[in-house]
Amino acid sequence: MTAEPSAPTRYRRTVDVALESRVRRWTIDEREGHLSFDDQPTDDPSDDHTRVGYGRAARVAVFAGPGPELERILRRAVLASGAELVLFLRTTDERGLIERAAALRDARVDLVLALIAERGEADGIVDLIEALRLGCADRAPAPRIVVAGEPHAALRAKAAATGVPVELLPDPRRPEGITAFAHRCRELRRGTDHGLILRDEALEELARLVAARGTDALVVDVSGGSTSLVRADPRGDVVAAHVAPLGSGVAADRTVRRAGLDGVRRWIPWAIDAPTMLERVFNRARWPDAVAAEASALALEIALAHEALSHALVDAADAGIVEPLRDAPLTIVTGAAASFARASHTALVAIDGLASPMPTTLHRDADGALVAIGALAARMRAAGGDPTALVSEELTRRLVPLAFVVPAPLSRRRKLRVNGAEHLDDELGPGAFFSVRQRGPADVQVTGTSIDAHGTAGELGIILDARGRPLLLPPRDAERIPTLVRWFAALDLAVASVA
Amino acid sequence: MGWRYGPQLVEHSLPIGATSRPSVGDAVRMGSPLATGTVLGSPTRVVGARKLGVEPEDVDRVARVAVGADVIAGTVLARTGRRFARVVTAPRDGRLVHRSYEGDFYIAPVAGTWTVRATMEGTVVRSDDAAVSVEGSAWTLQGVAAYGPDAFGELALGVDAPTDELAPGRVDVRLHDKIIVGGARIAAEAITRAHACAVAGLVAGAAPAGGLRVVYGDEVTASGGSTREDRPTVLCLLGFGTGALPNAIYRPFVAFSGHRAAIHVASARLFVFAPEAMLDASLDAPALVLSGDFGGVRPLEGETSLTGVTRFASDAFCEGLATKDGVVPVPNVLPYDAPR
Repeated sequence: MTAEPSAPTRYRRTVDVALESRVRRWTIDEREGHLSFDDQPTDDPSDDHTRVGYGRAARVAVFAGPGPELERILRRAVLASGAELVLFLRTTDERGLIERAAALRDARVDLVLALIAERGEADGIVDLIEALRLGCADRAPAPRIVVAGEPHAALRAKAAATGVPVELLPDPRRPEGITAFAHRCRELRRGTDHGLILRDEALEELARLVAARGTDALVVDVSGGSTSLVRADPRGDVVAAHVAPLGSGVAADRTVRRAGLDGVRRWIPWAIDAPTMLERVFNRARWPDAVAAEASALALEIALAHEALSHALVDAADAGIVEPLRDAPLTIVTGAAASFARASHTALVAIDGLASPMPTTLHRDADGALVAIGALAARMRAAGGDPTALVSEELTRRLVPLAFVVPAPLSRRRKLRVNGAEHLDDELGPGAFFSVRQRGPADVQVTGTSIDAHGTAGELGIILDARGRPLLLPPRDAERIPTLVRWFAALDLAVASVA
Repeated sequence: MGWRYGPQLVEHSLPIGATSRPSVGDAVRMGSPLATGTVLGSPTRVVGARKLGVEPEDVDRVARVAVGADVIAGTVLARTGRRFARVVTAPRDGRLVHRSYEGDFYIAPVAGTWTVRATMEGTVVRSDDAAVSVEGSAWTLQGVAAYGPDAFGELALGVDAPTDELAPGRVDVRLHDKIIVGGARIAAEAITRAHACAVAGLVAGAAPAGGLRVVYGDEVTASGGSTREDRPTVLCLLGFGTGALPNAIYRPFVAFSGHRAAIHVASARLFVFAPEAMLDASLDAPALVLSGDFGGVRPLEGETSLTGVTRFASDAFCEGLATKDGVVPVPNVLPYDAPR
């Protein structure tokens, strides 16, 4: 009598990825150590249920001494945490106790990060803590203080914070300090929802998984209410900037407040008056998960995504981490910016928003599956497992190149060679922006320059960008609109019908 | 839902420097002063524990003045000893606003006063230096965003139909201290004119976002925001741009005209203090539709049917809903009271 072969074990998981107010559900079958994602998910979640969300907003104030380097480090810590930096108070702040206290009360701070870089700064930090006590002591719940830095001075600051919960954390000037602060903020954002995987955790895990294949990876996430840039290297080290609220949906009004009306309007390829645009922005901000039914609304969302990304990079620059977050050989766009109906819209947002001077292979997560993979992996890693092998096959299947983007700053006309063959269909000169039809691995050389790039082309082929950096748009509509239309048309967009 | 009558909890945040506020359990009336306080100037720090020769935690024992009390120059703040006394005195007139953990005193000059008024009639359920919360019952209408200080007054109709725009010419000084109900839109001119005529507040389906920027500054957002300074008060019920009011929302305004009302800006709610029996509570507001270009909000009226997955002009694909004005994406249709 021979034993019958046992049926392959099958394990079902559910991953719910929160959008602005809705949830996208993925059902994942695991068979023999491989995952497969179901695009037609069931209504009932399985017992193994992963939820991905933004968590609640965490408003952070920073207390620190003067000094640009210190400020950069603290901004970096806050960017890594996904919290919103609402107030930066220096010990040299000229305001008195009452004004400082009023500013802290009005800022509705949830958490204060106080860094005492050297013992001499303790008096200044204690004064700021007194202002916090005066402004927020009666608030329910009271804000928490995280104190870091010189140990003796930190203990003095802790003693000064009577009536306010205080924690001591490692110095954010060391990498483990940034990690510890990010972890603390994430706990705050999760609140009592301990099982929640934060979207930024999922994005970081996604970047790690992709980078583990041997290439540095940059994940660019522009969603309705937040914008993230995450770079991981093959060793698993991550540099991240999670900026909230800044996005193309429910945070559209905040994006406009930062970028200014003209900052957003300049990306719209036709004339639109500022009051009309502002009304659309405000309505979008108060309508979670609204769908842009008309082309004008879509153009607004694209413009908002451009500016959200640009301003996330500005924040990264303030924190001294802009270079790694702009240039990576592999870029994955996720979130709302990846969900535009046309892939070329996503490409435009990524190319113009990042304005990277380095070649990159661009990917997009059109349906949110990569974020779900990242979330699942983050949950496994948090439980002590290594998800790399399990998600590898599905990650390969979902990670499809969209375009190979080659920026080429030129001062005069040059020749383009793709895989050794000269490309004569388009003129490559200063200001050129075009796409070369090509799929698969591509070697790109530009004669007379040092450009010799290798990447993988996809649906949009190889995109040659000789518009120069920083990308400049003409200020006058008469020049700006044709320029934008040309850029849109270069990636095969039907703008003419809208205009 | 739309209009509803029931218990409401209303939180009034207080600025720094409260001098009087009600106790928990006290009854308050709409519009009456809920808390008062002083606007404080830059404080002077007076060394306390070190000068007195006591530990900071012992300053309480020897303090003669409680935090929050008014003092005049020379007032003894704390004193130790009998024969060889050590004394800390106030160096100036003002208020003792704070005592530090090191036992020092902060005396701030009084630069003015402030008053926070109640937007709800009922009972105080929380009262501390940060906020006073009042619980009471009133007819309530939730808006989408409000701007300016809290407003109190009688309701007055400023339009003849729910689809009308509030014309600046309809606003004059006879409407002072009243809350005017606009229709689908209030232009910036109407907002500034109403403020000049001492109108208490404005309520409408929508307000132009650009006009709000003109009135409240470039920092204004779609979430609204309360201010303490003297500014107009605007409550947007549906959105921005234009927002014709559904009949289920507008008709009660006609019935409530002349009744006392309040706008609580922080929570974007309108309270009308009218008898519960005055209105049929089953009057449900229709769902709202966001226009395809995001330019306005309108009530969903007439026959509707699902069209399945539909391709829209922007190339977006999603479930569609056929309405009398065309097919709209299902996510762009929300119940009146949906969180947004």
